Amino acid sequence: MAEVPTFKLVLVGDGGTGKTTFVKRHLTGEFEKKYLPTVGVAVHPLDFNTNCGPIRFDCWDTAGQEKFGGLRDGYYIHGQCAIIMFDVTSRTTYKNVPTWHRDITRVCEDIPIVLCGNKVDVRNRQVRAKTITFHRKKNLQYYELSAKSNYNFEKPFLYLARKLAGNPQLVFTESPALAPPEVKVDMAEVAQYEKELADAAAQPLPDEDDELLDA
Amino acid sequence: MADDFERAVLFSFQQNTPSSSSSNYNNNEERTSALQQLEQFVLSPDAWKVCAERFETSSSSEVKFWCLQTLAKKLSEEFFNEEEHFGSALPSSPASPPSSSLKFSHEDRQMLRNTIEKYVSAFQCQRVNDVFPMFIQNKLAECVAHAIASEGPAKRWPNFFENSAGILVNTNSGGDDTNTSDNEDKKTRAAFFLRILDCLDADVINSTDALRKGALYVRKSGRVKDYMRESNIVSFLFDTFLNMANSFSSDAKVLSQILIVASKYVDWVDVNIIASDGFMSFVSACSGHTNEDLRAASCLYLTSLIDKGMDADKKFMLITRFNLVEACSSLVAASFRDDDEQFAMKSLQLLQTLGNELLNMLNAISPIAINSKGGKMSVKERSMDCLRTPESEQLCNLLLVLATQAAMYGIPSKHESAVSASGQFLIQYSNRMKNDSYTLALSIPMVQETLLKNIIDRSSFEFVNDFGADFANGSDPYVIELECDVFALRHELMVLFRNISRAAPEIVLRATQAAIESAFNTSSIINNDNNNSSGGGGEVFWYRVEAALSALYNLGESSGFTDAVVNFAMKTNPNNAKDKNKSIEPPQSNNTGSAPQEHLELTSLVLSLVLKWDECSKSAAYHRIVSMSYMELCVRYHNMIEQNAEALHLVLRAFLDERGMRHPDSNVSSRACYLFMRMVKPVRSHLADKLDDIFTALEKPLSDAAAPLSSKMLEAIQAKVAQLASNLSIGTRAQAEEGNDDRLYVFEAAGSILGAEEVPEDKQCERLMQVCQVLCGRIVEFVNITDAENGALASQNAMRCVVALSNLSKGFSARICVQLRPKVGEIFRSAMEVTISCLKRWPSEKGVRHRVVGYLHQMVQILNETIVPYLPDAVDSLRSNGTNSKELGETLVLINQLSNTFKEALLPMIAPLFLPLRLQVHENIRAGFSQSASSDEFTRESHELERSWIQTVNTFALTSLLSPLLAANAEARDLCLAELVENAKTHSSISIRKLCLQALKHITTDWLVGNDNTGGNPQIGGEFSNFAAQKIGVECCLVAPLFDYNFADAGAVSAVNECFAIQRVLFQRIGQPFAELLAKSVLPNLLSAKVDPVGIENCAQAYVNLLQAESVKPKDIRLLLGEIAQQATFPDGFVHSPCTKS
Repeated sequence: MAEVPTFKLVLVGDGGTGKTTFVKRHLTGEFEKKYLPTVGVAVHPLDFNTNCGPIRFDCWDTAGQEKFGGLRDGYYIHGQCAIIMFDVTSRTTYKNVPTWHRDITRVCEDIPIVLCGNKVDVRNRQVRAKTITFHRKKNLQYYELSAKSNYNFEKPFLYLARKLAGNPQLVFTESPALAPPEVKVDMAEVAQYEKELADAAAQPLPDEDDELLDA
Repeated sequence: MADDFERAVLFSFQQNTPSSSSSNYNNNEERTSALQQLEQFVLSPDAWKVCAERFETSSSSEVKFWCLQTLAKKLSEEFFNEEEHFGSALPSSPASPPSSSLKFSHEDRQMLRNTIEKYVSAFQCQRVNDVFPMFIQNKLAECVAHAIASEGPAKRWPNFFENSAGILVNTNSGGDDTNTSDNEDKKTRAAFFLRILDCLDADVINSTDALRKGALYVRKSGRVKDYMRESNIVSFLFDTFLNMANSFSSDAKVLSQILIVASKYVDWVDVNIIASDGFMSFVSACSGHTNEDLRAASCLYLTSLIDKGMDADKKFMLITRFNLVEACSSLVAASFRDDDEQFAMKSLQLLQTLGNELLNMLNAISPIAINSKGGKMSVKERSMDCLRTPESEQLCNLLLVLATQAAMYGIPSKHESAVSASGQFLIQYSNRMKNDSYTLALSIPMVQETLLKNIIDRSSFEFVNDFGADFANGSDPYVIELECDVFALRHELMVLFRNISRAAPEIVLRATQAAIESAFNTSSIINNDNNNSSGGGGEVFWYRVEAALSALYNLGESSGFTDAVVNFAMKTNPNNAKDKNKSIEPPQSNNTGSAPQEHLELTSLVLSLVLKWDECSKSAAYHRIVSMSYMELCVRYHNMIEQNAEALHLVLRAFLDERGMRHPDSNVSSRACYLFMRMVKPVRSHLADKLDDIFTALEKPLSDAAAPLSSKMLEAIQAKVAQLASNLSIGTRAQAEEGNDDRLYVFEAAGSILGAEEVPEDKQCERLMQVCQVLCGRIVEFVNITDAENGALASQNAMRCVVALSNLSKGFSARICVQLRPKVGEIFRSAMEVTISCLKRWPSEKGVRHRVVGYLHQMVQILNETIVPYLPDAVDSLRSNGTNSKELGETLVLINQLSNTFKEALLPMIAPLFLPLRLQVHENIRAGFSQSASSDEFTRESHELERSWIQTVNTFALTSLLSPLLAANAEARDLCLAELVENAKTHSSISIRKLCLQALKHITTDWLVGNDNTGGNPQIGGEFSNFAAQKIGVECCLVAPLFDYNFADAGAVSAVNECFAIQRVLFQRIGQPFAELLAKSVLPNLLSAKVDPVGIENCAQAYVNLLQAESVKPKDIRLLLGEIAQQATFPDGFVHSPCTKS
C-alpha cells in the first residue's frame, strides 16, 4: 500500500487563541471549555481524503506562552506549511501576528502559510474585519474560523493541501469526523463580516503605523 | 558521539506524540529529567559561553540551532542590562523586556565580539550551505544583529561592518566564477551579510515593531539608527550594496535580495543615499531585467521610496527626475505579459502608491480643498507651494493620467491580487473624476476605450470557465468556491464601475449596452466552446450574458440612476407614460422638468433587453447562474418593466417556467420563489387579469413548498440556506434560521397577487380558500401524529405550514379583510384555530411558538378587533402548565403588544386572565430564586420575568385596562395595589420603581374624583383616598425619593418627576387635606430633629407652592427635595432600600 503523503504543519499564535481547541476538533471530538495552555508541543496527525488521494498533516501544536519554555522556533525546523492563529476578540493576538510570521519564515523559507482569525462566534469582536490586512501584505491566505462551531474548519487545510500538492483543483472528497459544534455561528453576522472583509479588500493597504493605532 | 548535553538537547526536539507517551515509561522519565536539567542550565551565567563553544564543536544541526537560540536570547537581553553607556538606569515597568540580572563583564564582551567575528569568518569555508543550513544561518544572523545592537552604539565595535563585508562580500571577483561550488559559496556569504542586515531591521530597528513592543524598544531602535547614521554605516552599506550588485551582476537572486533588504532601510535613511544617482541607476537596471523576481524587488524598493515621508516638493522632484511614472508604467506593462503573480502584484502596488501620491498632491493643491478650510493650510499643504504653478499642476495631472492608464492594464490581469491592486487605485482616481471636471475630461477617452469593457469582462466567469469546473452543477464544492471568488472580485470591480457611473453615467450606459450587444452577437461565436454542454446552448456564451446582466444591474445601483430618477425618467417618457394627464413631480436631483437623456436610455435598454430576452438569450437563459442574475435584474428594474405589458408578461413567464421556479437546480427554483415575491409585490395591481394563468403555473411550486419534508430534506434546506447566507453575494442574503426556506416565499407571492383589490371577490375567496385548506389540512395531519419518532419532524413540517399561512396573509390588508370583503377575513380567522392547535400540541417548541405568535401578529394587522375572541385560547396555550420563565416572559411581551393595539377592547380577555397569570408569574419567579444557588441563570431569568410582569401591569395602566379591571375585582385590586406600592417604595431597580409609579398615577387619576367631577369610579370606596394620600403620595413619592434615590442618575430624575406628578394629581383631587398632611405632619416629622419650626414651615410652604404652581421646572423639585434630604431624619418603620443605577 502506498504511503500517505505526510507534511509537517506548524500551528502557531499567541496563547489562548484556540490552537489546541482547533486541532482537537478533528481528533477526538473532545472539546475543553477550560483553557489549558499547551506545554511545549504536541503533534496531532490530521488525515484528510482528497480527490487526489489521502493526505496527512502532522500538526505541531506549539505553546503560545514563552514562559512554558521549550524550543520555540526550534520546533519549526523542517516545517512544510504553517497556520498562524489569532483571536478576533483580542487585539493583542493580532498585533503579534507579524512576529509569528517572521519567526516561521526565518526557519522555514517559502512555505505556504494561512492566517486564521478564530472565535468569530463570540459577539464581542475586537479585531474589525477592515483592520485585518497583514495577509495582504505578506501574500498569505486568510480565513475566519470558529473552532467551537467547526465553522471553516477545513478551509486552512484545503488551501495548504492545494499548495503542497500544486493542484488548485484538489478538493476534500469527504468531511473529516469533527466534534459536534458547541455553538452556532450567527450566519447573518458572518455574512456581515465577510462583507466587511470584502470591502476592506477594496481599500488600499494602510501604513504600518496607522494599522497599529487602528488595531 | 553525543554526550549528555547533546542528548538532552536532542530530547527536547523529540515530539510529544500520543504514542510516545505510552510506549516507554523509562524513556519518558529520562526525557523529563533531561529537559529539566537543560532548563536549569540555560539559567546559569555561563550558559552562553558553553553554547558559543558547542556551536563550533557539535556536528548536529539541532544542537547548533539550540546553542544559537540560547545565545540570541542572552544577547537580546544584554542591551537592556547595560546602563553605563546610556546614562540613567532603565525604568522597571510591566513593559520591560525580560532581562538577566547578570551583566556581561568587559572580558565577556570581548569574548562575545571575538566569537561573533569567528563565526562570521567561519563562512569562508567551502560548501557553506552544507555546513550551515539555512535555518542556522538565520539564527546566526539574529545573534549577530543583537550583538551589533548591544556593542555598536557603545562604540566598542567600530569596524564590524567593514570587517564583515570584507569577509562576506568578496567584491574582487564576480559571481561568475567558473567553479560552481565556489560561486555558490560566494553567493551564500553575500546572502548571509544581507541576512544580518535583514535581522537587524526586523529585530532591532523596525519602528512598527518597536512601537508595538514598547518605549524601551523604541529607544533601542533609535540608538542603533543614530549610531548607523553618525558612523556613516548606512552610506557604507549602500555603497556595499552597489559593489555587491556589480559583483553579482548576473545573479538575479542576489540582486533581488539586495533590493529587498535595502528597501527596509529606506524609511529612515537620508534620501541622498537611498536615491543617489548610482543606486537609482542600479534600481532602474533591475526594473528592466528579464527576471520577474528582480523586477518585483525593484518595485518593492521604489514603493518604499515613494512611500517615504518627505516634503512634497522633494517627492515630486524625485518622481519627475527619475521618471518614476514611466518606469512604473513599463513595469506594469511587463507584468501584464508575465505569468508571475508576485511581480504583477508588486508592480501594481507600486503603481497604486505612486498614483495615490500624485492624487494626494493634486487634491491638496486644489482650490476646493483650500477654500473648504477657509484658506488655511496645514504645514504639509504649505510644503506643496512648489506645485501651485500652472506648469507643475499640469505636469502632475499628466503624470496621474499616465499612471491611470497603466493601472487600467492591470484590470484584465489573470491574477486577482493584481486586479485588486489596480482597482483600489482606480477607485481613488474615479473619486477625483467625480469632483474635478478637468480630470474627468482627461479621463473620458481612456475610460471609454478600455476601462469599462475590461471591468465587465474581468468580472465575468470567463476567466474561470476553463478551470475544469462544470458551472451547471451548483452543488459541486469546487464550483461553489470558484463562484465565490468571481463574486468577490466582481464586488470590488463594481465599486469602481459604479463610481465611474456617478461621474459619467452616459459612458457607462454605452459600455453596458455594448456588453449586452456583444453577448448576444452570435456572429462572434466560436463553435468549439468546451463548456457549451454545461452552459447549454452553443449559440451564446452564458458567462458573457451573465456579465452583461451584472453590469446592467450595477448601473441601477449607482446614484446616477437612483430609483427616483429612473422612475421619473420612465414616466416622463412619452412612450411609457400610462396616465399622461397625471402631473409628475420631478425628483430633487433634477429640477429641469425633463428626464435626463441617459435615464431614458436606461429605461429603453432594460425594456429592450427584456423584450428580446427569450429570442436572444436562447439556452443561456436556462443556465443556473444566468437565470438567477436575470431574475435579480428584473426585480431591480420592476418599475420599468411594469409599465410595459408585454415586458411584464415575458418576465413573469421567465419566473414561472424552467428558467425560474421550475428550474431543475433546486437553488435556482427556491431562489426564484423569493425573487418572484419581490417582483410581483410592487406590480400586483397589473396582475388581476392574469390571475388564472399565474395560479395555474404556481400550482406545482405551491404544492411542492407545502409538501411534508423528510428530516434529511429539512437538513438539506437548512444547510442550503446557511450556505447561501455565507457564500453568495447575489441579492439579499437569506437568514439562515430554522424554518426559513426561500420556497415558502411563493405563498407570499401568491398572497400579494391574490390580495389586490383589483381581483374580483369570488375569485379571491375561491383561490384563497384552496390554498388555506391545503395548508390547514396539512397542519391537522401533523398535529395528529402522536408517535414520538415522527413527532419532532411533524412539528417542523407544521411550522413550515404556519410560515406559509403567515406569508400568504401578508398580501392582504385590513381594508380587504374587515371592511370590503369580510369573507376573506373569515378564511384567515378559521385558519387561526388550526394554527393555535400547534401550540397545544407542541407548547415548548421554540420554533412553533415563534411562528404561531408571528402569525397572530400578522392576523392582528389584517383582522383588527375581530381576532380578539381567538386570543384567550392562544394566550392560554402559550402559558400552559410547565411553561418556563423565558416562555412566560415572551407571552407577557405578546400580551403587552396586544394591549397596546386593542386597548380597552382587550378587557374581556384580560379580566379573567389577570389573577391566574399573576399567580403563574409569581410562582415562576419564586421557583427561579429558590434555584439561584445552582445557577446564576435562574436568578437572571427571574429578574427578567419580574420586570416583564411589572411592564405588563404598566402597559395595562397606560392602555386604560388596569383601572376598570381592578375596580371590578377586589382581590385583584388588593394584590395589585400592594404589589405596586411595595415595588415603588423598595425595589432596588429605579426603572421598575418608575414603571410602578406610572401605573399608580393612572389608577389615582382614574379613581379619585376631581374638583371638576372628572374621574372617580363607583366601585371604589372613599377609603382609597386615604390609601392614595398616605401610601402613594407620602411613602412612595416623598419618603422613598428622599432616602433611596440618587439624583445624579437619569433614571432617578425621571422617577422623581413621576412622584411629583402623582402628588399634583393627589393635590388636585384631594385638595387641602393632602397639602396639610404634607405640611403639618409628614415634613415636620422628617425635619424636626435638625430644623427649627420656622425652617420647617418655610420648607412646607415651598413644597405646597410647588404643588399649586401652574408649571414647575423639574430642576426646582429636585433642588427642594435635595435640601429636605440633607436635613431629614429617617422615619421609624421604613426600610432603607437604595436604588441601583438605571
